[in-house]
Amino acid sequence: MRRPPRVVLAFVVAACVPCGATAARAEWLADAEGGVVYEDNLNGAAKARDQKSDLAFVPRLSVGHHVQLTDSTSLRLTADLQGGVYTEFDRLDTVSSGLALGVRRKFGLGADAPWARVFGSAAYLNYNDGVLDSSLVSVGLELGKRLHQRFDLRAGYLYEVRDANTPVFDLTAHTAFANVSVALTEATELILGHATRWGNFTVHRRATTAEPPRPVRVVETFDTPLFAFRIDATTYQASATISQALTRDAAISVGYDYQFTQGPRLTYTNNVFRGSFTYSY
Amino acid sequence: MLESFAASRCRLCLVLVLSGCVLSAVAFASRAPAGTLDAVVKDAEGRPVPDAVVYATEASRTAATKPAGAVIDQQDKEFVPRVKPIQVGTDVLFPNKDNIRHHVYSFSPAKKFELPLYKGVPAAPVRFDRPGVVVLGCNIHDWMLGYVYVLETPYFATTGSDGNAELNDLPAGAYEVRVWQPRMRETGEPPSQRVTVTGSKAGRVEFLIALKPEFRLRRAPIGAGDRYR
Repeated sequence: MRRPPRVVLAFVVAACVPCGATAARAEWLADAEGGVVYEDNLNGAAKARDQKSDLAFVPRLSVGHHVQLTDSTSLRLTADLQGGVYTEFDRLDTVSSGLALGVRRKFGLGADAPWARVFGSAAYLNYNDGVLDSSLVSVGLELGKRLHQRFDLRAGYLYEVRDANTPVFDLTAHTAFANVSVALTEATELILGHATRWGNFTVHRRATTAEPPRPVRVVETFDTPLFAFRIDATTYQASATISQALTRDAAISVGYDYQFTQGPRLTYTNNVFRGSFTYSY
Repeated sequence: MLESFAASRCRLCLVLVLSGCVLSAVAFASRAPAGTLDAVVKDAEGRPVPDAVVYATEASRTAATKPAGAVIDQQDKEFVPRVKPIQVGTDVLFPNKDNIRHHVYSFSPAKKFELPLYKGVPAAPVRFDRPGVVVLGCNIHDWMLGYVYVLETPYFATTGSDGNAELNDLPAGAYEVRVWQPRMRETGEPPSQRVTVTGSKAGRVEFLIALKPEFRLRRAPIGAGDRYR
């Protein structure tokens, strides 16, 4: 971690931003999450010999305000701080801090009314390995509707731009996603999702092979030297999550994502296993 | 002249005394011994069922009491109490005790109403003038769910966490005692029992009811940042 004090300071300042103007009508939001993530190909390598897997502890803190602007429109502004601590590849350890803004409108009255949300976020990702440091800006649109007392449908679009210290990690991508939540019991939800992401990806392969197309850079993030290079590709992701409410403000979740990426003369997969505990104030 | 004035005063006093006696007797008769009925509600596994409304309807007459007002609070983004039985014609206030705004509504046929975004105590209560179940929601906090059970009778009580309820001040008479709970699996008419109240202790009834799951929007988060979507 190169500058954690500055990152934390930025987060604290960001958390205070919503306090002033909106305090009279705002509702405090504070979410804390502790999670673990295991990926079996976290470096996006096509060949099995180049694939790196690792387990990371991923804590997250989100503080901000929910402001009900009118009967049907609300605004959510949060300061988000997220960490990543890897068990093996500690150069991937990261602290991300940023702001997220969302405006949601409900079309009607009641829990079953459809809604739409536009949202955006800006964050700075500070890695242990400085070549990965980058800013990440995203904007998106999400639509939702409770179809039945046990089924909730959400779908949306996300546009992301990542601007890194190293050009090979400069990425632009689009994501279309949809998921359905199914209440299995009063406290247990199953969330099934699909996402398609298209645009730039940074992938890796062994540095002893012929140099790949530019932009390329040799990185030692994964202990052994690897070429990191950027391609245009598409990832298809299927995911399943089970979330169990522990109290009315806390829940645990476990999930699995299967990611299949297809690019020019290159395909690879990544299996992601997730577990988390979330508390909402 | 003085004699006749004294005699008429005497007759007047006698009339007043007699009237007082008659009124006292009528009043005493109308306060015929009132009884207390103990009720317990359990589920199919024998566990106590909270938030069940136990109510008694008198077979021979309709109660003519004027209902008192009622209050349903909003506290910590929940309706308190979650289940509120009231008599038809009751005015209910919905004070918001949170320091944020709520938007209370109901789509139920027994009472459709809406209290748009507000803090504090609304200016006017809501009158519930038709019997039936009124489901309450908050348009901001979709998980908030409450029930008003509007009854023709003034004799009702809600079970606590131990499944027990006490119906007080039941005048002597024959009653049909029924139970309702929001999660009760309905199979036609609500379960009922006949009870006769003769003294101060009317007895005890026990109901066994089958419950179904209640799938309201979950308050607990699925992930950080999920609560208000």
